[in-house]
Amino acid sequence: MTDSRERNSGGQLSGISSVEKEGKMEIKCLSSVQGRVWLLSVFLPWIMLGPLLATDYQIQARLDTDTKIIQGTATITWINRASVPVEDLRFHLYYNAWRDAQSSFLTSNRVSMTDFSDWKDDEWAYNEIDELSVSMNGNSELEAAENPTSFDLTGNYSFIQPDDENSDDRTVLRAVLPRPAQPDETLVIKVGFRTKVPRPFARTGYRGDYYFLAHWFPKLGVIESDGNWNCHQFIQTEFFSDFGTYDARLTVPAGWIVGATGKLVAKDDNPDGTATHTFHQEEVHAFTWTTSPHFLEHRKRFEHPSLPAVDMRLLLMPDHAGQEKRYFRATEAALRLYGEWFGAYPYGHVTVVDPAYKSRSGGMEYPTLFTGGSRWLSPEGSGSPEGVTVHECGHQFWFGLVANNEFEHAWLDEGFNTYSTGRVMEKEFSPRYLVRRYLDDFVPVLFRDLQQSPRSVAGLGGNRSELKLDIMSKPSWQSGPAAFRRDVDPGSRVYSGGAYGVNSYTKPAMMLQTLERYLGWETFQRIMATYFERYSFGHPGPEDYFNTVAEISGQDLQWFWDETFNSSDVFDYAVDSVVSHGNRKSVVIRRWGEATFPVQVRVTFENGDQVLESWDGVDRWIRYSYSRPEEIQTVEVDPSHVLALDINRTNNTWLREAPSALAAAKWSFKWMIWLQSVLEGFAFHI
Amino acid sequence: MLQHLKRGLHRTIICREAVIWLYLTNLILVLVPTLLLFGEIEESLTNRVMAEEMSKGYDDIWFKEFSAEAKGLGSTFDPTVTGIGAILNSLDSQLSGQLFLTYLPIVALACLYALFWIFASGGLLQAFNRNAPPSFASFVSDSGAFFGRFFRITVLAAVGYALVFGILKPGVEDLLAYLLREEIDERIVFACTLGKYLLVALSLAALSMLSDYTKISTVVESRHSILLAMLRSLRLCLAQFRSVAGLYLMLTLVGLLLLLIYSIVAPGASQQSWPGVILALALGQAYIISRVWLRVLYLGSQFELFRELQNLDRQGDGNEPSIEKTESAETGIIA
Ligand SMILES: [Zn+2]
Repeated sequence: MTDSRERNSGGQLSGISSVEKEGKMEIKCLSSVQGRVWLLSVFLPWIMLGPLLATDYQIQARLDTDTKIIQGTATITWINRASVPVEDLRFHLYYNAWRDAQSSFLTSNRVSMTDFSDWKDDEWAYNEIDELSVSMNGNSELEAAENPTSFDLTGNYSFIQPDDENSDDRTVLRAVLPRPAQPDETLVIKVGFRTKVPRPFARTGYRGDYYFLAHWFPKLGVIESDGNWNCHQFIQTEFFSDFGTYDARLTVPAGWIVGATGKLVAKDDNPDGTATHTFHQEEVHAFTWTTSPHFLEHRKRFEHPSLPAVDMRLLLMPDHAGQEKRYFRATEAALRLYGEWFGAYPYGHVTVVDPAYKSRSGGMEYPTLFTGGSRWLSPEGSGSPEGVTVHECGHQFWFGLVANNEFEHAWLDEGFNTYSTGRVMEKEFSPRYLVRRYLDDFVPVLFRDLQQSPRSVAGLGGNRSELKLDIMSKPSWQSGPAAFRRDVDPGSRVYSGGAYGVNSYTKPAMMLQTLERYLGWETFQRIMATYFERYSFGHPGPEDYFNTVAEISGQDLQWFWDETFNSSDVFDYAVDSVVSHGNRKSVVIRRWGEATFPVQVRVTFENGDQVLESWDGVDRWIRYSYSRPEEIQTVEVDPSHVLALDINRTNNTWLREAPSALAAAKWSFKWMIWLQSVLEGFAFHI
Repeated sequence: MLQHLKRGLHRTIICREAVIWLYLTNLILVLVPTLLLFGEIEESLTNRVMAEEMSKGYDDIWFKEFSAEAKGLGSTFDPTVTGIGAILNSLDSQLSGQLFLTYLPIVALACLYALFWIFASGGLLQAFNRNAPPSFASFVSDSGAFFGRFFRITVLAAVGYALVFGILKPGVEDLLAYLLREEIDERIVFACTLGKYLLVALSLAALSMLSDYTKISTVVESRHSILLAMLRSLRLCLAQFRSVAGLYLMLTLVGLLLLLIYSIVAPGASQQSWPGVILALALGQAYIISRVWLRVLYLGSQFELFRELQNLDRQGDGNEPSIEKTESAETGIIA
């Protein structure tokens, strides 16, 4: 048993239990004794997967708001959880991604067209290591006595590039140990560092006197059981770290408000006009903070009959005063529905940060803290800030607790969370309407006639066969941009998110939606809750999810993963033709996409009779013939919309007398008025 | 100023047939693209259940699928053209300069319409000058007589618009970006943005006024040199700034009133039958006619003000004839 485990079992986490009853998960608050039983059951997986809790950080940092430099020290307690000796340590120095324009982040596909030549000095960032030492105590007192305990590694490190050949990239630092660290050996590493805070970039940086500081300190990679480091360069992905305990003492100008991962345990005013805020949090895998003198602080408690209470702290920018109810309502909706569907949020507190205007820090998740994002004018019914708040709060579950490797399998949190967000938004925040913003996007107009589809996944058009995207199983950090064959389709528009956007967000969300409808919500909810329970405080991979699905559903769904996860083929079933010759009626259904899925076909006759056909969907087409006098009224492929992945829902139906001319006239006439107004705009200039 | 507006209104009544012709020109020009878009939408909805959704209201999934595949004209279709959106979308792009960056064939169509306006302006102003409804033949012949000069005025005005959207607006944006680099309160940035658009709107108004009075001067004072006409109108605008600007503001308020009325009556997406669709179209057309009429009203009211100021000028120190005398020598400066 390690220290961290002992702390955990007696720690602050609320006691809840998940009980399977009649196919539904019931989560009940329990007494403290029962709570310990619950903790044991929830933490059993990681007790068995011991290596996961391996890294504790004690950090002291002082933010100089004049120089924008954080001067800090970190004492990291790290246990070698590999089964073999480890010869080196590897650190992420994320801020070096914006050190200069040669970093892999800034030369990667997604931003390689950007010109950084006019960037000012204060736009750049860095992580510098001023001091690095390690104490190696060995596995036993004898070893500790025989070996010198402290080694200075300051000159003994180098930057490495495990993912590409870019020798200018300094986002991974390798420090060679004086001797290999033995399995289960505990190392105490001391790092003195300086971090230059950049202008806002990738959800970090400063604007005015608003600071958002994520991934700001030297952070150890994750050691795999075979002794290999999982420590990727920072190339346009999200993150991956060990769980551990964080104690951070953050010094900022007095009077500034600080929001951070964890709970504030002390606040001390210093004689030099600064104040030190001390935060503590156990069992998390990152530590992020924000500070500004402008935050308006609001608090509310989330309470639920069968879920642990959560103290919500909202830090709101003054231009969004009045939006606190909307932020809290969305946070509560996520805590409640994710809690009821998947499992409880155990930390007891969460900090919601409303990011400053143009700080580029909105819409991001960190353990026990997340950023929303809103505008000064944001009409009710627009889904903003509700959508982003639900999504980022949802990441407390898919990312914060079930902590997959985001470098490699971003879909396991982003896709899961996009799916889950859609479900919450449909249940709690429907209907939502289209909004168009005018005057440089400042003035919104909400169109009450234009309702957004409740489970619509943004970027539906991104999942198109002609874009020739990477397959989903390709590691996220290797995702390429979208491309299309200009010779075949010169007018095609590229989905700006590229393969990363589609494969991490939209496609997996539609995949899960398809599975939900294919297996039924009851089964699917049990799958998700089981997966959540098993892998909370763990680092599951795709196979862990696939195995959970197979186990709970009792079905071998390898065919489905092959069509989706292991392929970039798209699904597109269509009603091809309906023919009537006297009493002979026939319907041809066609598969336009390369991917296959079993679908139902519902044929409705003019007298109301219905025939439901089942097709395995494998052949290119299938014909259904009927001998009856009534005309066919409608034909629907996949009438229950099981296959959410179908990229063209319009062609899934056939209606005998569809008012297509009326619809086309209605909408083209509206467009005509726009065009006439454009012409009058030109006439004004004459 | 109300008098000028009232008398301007009278002028527009004199030229009501021209208003109708200009409106019909607008309508005829947009018919072909509208039919093309109609065809694209209809093809996508033929024998599809989504046709019912789209005829009863709006279906977001259909639009996303249509939009993902749309090219050319179809790519300019956006459901927010419903109701007042059609007007707001175009006005917003007009003020931001994006109007000139719309889909190229649409810009070409709009330029063609602008040519019609350049042509018709001569006939309109000459009809105002004669204070009598023009016959078709005289309207066409007057329009033709002034077309060359008005075209050159438009070219000069276009240089002005290019300066507004190519230098002034980006310049102000750069300045604001510099000044607001650290600003974290959206309200302050919004206030500055409003200031920017006020400046752009004022510049556009000044150019439009200058261009209009130059044309009026060309017609009323039978000028051949558009440079002199422009100088004349510049002098007038500066000397009688309050009257000129006051009238322009009042006309703009009329425009805003029309916009407000249309925003109240503009039909949304709920029409489910042909009569409903036709009624929605008719309301939209009524607004477009009012826009054409408003443009003529600008010309008519400004014409009235010009005439009055001209009379005042003549009763005054009589500097004007000296300009008239030099006129012929200056003819053809702008070729
Ligand atoms: Zn996300």
